[in-house]
Amino acid sequence: MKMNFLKNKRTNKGYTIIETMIAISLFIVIIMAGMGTLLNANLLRNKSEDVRSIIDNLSFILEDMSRNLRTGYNYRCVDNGIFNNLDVPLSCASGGAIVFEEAHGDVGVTSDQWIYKVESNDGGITFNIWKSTDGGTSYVQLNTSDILINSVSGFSVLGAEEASGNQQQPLVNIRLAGKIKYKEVETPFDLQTSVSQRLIQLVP
Amino acid sequence: MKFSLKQKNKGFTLIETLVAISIFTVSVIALLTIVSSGITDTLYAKKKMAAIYLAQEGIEYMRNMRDTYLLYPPNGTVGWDDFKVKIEDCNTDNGKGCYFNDQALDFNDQIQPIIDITISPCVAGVCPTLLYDSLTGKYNYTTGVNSGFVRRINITNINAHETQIYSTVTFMNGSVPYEITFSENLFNWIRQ
Repeated sequence: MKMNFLKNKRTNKGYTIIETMIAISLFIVIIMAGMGTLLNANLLRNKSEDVRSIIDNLSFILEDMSRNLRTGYNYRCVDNGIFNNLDVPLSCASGGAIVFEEAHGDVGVTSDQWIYKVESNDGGITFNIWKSTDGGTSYVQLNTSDILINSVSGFSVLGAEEASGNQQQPLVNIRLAGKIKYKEVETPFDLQTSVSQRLIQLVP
Repeated sequence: MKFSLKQKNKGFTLIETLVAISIFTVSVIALLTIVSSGITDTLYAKKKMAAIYLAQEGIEYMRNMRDTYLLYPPNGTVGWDDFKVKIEDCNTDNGKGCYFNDQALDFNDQIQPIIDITISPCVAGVCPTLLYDSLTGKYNYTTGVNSGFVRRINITNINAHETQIYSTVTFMNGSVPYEITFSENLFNWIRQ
């Protein structure tokens, strides 16, 4: 009988206060480390998601430029910032802006020329890309503020002139370089592509 | 009595502990892999975009050369034949492709600057890596630092008036090689 009572007592034994405290502190330590990792992972996920949407923006800019230049014609390269004679084709080795007749544009009208320009509004430190579809009357900024374009970005135009003797189908070289700045982390990018005018250029 | 004592002293066996630890480790590693692959994928997206536009540039140069040659045959003969002679080094039958160098391209020349482009065969199938010059912002083969992109042009003559052009750009992301290939069929659109 006495044995039975003793056995019962042993079976009902629970945790001591020490065991409970050790268990709880272990649990807290592990959870703290786990939460730290989880929050960090979430932060990284947000960062890569944002950087990806910025990359999408960059891809859109280059796609938009190359698509419209390909179907357009009468390329005029502007390398001195002066926008005049918008409908006169002009080649250049390197320029910050390009004016052209969009595929559906009217050749006799200069106010419907499209313009892409790389321009700085802080004295040449960072540049932005602007697009105009009305001959330079109004511009829309294409890049987000996270994309810092640098000064080597621009256009090269080959064989655009309509002068007799020009035996070259027009070719435009587009360069887009700079860095993506997101929360003090800078990711550089260097893009380059070329576009050959689709409309066959026949010179008188 | 003996039975009850044995029950009380029972803990985990070594095997049980090892199984528990390995399950925990596997799940943690899986989580870490997902997180780190998200970061490398962002880098990959950036490189892939640059590679796509470089590959497209290869197609555009070949197309421009075709149009220029057809409109104004440089040797005064048949433009399509001149074009095919110019890009013969790229023919897959003769080797493993070629690369073009636009270093000599003169933007002030209005006569026919595109013929100044040099086309060279890739020796033993290995094309040179494009260099990136941060002062001019141009990819080239002469100045700047290694960009990690290799561009190769291949052509296959389908018939006398049709040529298929492949423009391939290869690059490494970490230790994994990637390849982007664009292709276009160019026709002799002028009746001779």
